Amino acid sequence: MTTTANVQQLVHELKALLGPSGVLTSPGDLLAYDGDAYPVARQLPAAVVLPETTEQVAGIVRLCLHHAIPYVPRGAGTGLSGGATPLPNSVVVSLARMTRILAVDAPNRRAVVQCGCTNQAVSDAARPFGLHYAPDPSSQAVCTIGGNIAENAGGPHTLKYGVTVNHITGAKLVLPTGEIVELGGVHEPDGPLDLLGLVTGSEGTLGIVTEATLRLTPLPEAVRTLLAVFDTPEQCTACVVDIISHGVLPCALEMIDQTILVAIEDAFALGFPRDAGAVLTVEVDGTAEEVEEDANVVCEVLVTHRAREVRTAATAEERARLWLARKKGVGTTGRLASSIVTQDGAIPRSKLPQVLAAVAERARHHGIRVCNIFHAGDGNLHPCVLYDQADPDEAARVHAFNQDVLALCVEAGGTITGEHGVGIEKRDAMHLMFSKADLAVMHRIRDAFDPAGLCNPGKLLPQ
Amino acid sequence: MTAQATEPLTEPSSTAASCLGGVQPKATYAPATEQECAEIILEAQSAGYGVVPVGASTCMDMNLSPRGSAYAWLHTGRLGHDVQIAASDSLVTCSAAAPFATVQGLLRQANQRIAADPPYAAEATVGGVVAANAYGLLRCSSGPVGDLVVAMRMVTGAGEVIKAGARVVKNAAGYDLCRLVAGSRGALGVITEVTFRTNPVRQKTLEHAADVPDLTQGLSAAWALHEELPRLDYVAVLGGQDQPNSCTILYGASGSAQYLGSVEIQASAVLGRHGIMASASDPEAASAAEDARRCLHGCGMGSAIRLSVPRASGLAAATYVAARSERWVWLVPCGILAAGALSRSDTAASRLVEMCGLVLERSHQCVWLRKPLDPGLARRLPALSPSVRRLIQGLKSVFDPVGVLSPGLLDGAQ
Repeated sequence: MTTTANVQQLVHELKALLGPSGVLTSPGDLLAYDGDAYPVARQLPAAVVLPETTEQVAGIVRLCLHHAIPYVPRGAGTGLSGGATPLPNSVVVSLARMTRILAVDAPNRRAVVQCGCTNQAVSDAARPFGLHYAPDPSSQAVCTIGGNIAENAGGPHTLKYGVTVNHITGAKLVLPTGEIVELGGVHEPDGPLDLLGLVTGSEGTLGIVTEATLRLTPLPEAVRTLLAVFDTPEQCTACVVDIISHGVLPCALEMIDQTILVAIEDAFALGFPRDAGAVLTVEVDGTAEEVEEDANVVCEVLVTHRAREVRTAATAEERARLWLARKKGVGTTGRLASSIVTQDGAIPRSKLPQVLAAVAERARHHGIRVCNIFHAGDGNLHPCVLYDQADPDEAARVHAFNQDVLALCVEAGGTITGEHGVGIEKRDAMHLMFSKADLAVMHRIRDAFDPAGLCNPGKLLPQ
Repeated sequence: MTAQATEPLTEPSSTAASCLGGVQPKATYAPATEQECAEIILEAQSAGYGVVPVGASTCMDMNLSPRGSAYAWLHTGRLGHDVQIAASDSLVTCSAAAPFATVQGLLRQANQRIAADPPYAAEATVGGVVAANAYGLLRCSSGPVGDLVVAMRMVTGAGEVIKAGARVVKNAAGYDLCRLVAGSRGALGVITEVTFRTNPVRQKTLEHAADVPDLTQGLSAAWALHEELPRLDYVAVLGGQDQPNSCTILYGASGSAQYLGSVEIQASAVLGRHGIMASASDPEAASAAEDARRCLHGCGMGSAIRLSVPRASGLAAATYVAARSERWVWLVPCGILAAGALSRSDTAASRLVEMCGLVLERSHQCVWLRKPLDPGLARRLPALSPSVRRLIQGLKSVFDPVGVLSPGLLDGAQ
């Protein structure tokens, strides 16, 4: 049982392990760690620790185990499902000081990094060798590799290149027992069970990954970005399905609806027509020949679906300008409401038209405002709910709407989360997707790794 | 689109039984439903014998040790051959018994494919391919089979029917059980249905093979191909003791006709610089590629080893193997070296392991051996850490608490 006395004793021992600067306990310091980018759940931890080595992380875990104090791994706190939200009297293990890129192994196309290093830093380090790290969540400038691994992060370009688990070949993991194990290495595991695949996306509940070996991907020889303006969202989603049906696998297919488009125009004046129903960003890459051919097919499909305007970029500068709307889109929602919750679900791509229509219907039913900016190619919806958290009635309606969206996704054959993870937000929605027997297996897996139940408890699985 | 995979299944062969030390099964069951499958497992539990799931028995390299020599085959052939293609969703859902090549054939009609090329694709079942992680040369560009599985249904060793994942191309809900079960060779459950992510195949493919009389020359040329044409689907070197100083370079690509034309020109230039003048396309290349796929899994070989080789050890390890193995293959981009029927097998395998010791220290799971294995060699191999072994045993217990499925497979997991 957690008591104030054993928390104090733990803090004392943590300071002995890490030095005074490695342990934060003042309320002012702790405030910055009271949650992540999921705005609903906030809780001050008892302490925050800032280890610099894997051995220190293992020492922290052993001390927490000894004192039976729960701990919560944390990257940059950009998670959107509450996976890094502390529990009362818990210790937050921040990897913010473990930022070193240990090696860029260009011949083997690998990078070995400490897990507090940012996603962007890996690509920056690889670029001089003609390589990059393919997963690119929209928070890539600040989100950490450790957080990416915990959430199996994706991003706009995962349609073609896959998510984090497709780009990690090795990891150093501190188990909830305090033991350090290495999984995989330069090459992904080829052994009896894929433990690395299991740990990736486990939301920090099976241990703390402190170092990772990442696969680096050659930069494409050529890239072409297109942006198409449609009168209606239905035209846009039908076009998404048709592009793939024509045998093209773009590296990105991103959609923005009218509400966000107008907000973007207000902020950046990119020259989009304010009456447009949706905008689609399409990017193809590969060899020069492939890109030329794919871009031509995409253009034909866009015209067939009556895109009223198609903009094309060939240079890096032109591409950046076309991507500006997509990259800044989420941020501009801040102009539309005091509170925003971004929902996350994924559906089979062919169901996009009817599910988007159903989402709009549920929003009308609950009397709330919703806009959409999402990874259309993956069928990964991100309805952004615009509301006022200070209004309890509206907050309750938003909660009900979010539950409806998850149910809609599951009914359409999809999932309650495409990339944000379950965290706290969706743990009670897991039963929408999984039977009692399915969930019992997941609970037993967790117990096999963490018999004491101290490693990020209360996340991912229903209580 | 729903279709029926109608090709007949191959019965479990006698070679499958030989993988269990020649011990014949106590019985062969062929359940038609998941429920029947669960009943067979529970019955085996209470009667105290093991259950070994079998698809088309094309990859029975299992190192099994049935308890008290008593085990039963659980043949998945009657679990259905349904194939549901959702081309616009980039998904295909197949019953476990559907032959892999039949699924690929149906997908081709919809301009789709699963980016995997297992050995014996005509006979191998979808469930078997996933259970054995029976990847082929496309592993270089598409990863192991588990990378392509988005959902599955299975019957656990506790007789529970569970599902994993979701029929979407992107999912972050819960633990990724698909990855855990892919490659577990029936030790965690009997796979009854699999959903794969598919890719469009508007493009054409190219598959070439070049015979090289000098081994060193061939290995260097393969490296050069990998370096200078980084978008090839695969580069592999295939060799054997019948001609120990020679080898065959295999490479494949897919894309537009124009792109493939440029690949041919560039590859010819690279090979030409290494004194290799010609390469053959189908059907010789296709035959050599299938040879290579089988070699990766030790198919038809009495003993086999597969390990992961870093670039620094690659040429030395391949040269070493070439002089001692009846058949060997090296997947250059992903560093996988597989060798079968090593002469003086234990000594040669042991030396090979020592040569690649650096990577094995970092990554013990990269080594894979098939019986017969001398106990002396087993002791010299780097063992999994006690922590990892404990995790593996713990996970086995999660799915199969009594240890009825593929007994012994994970006991000494290396």
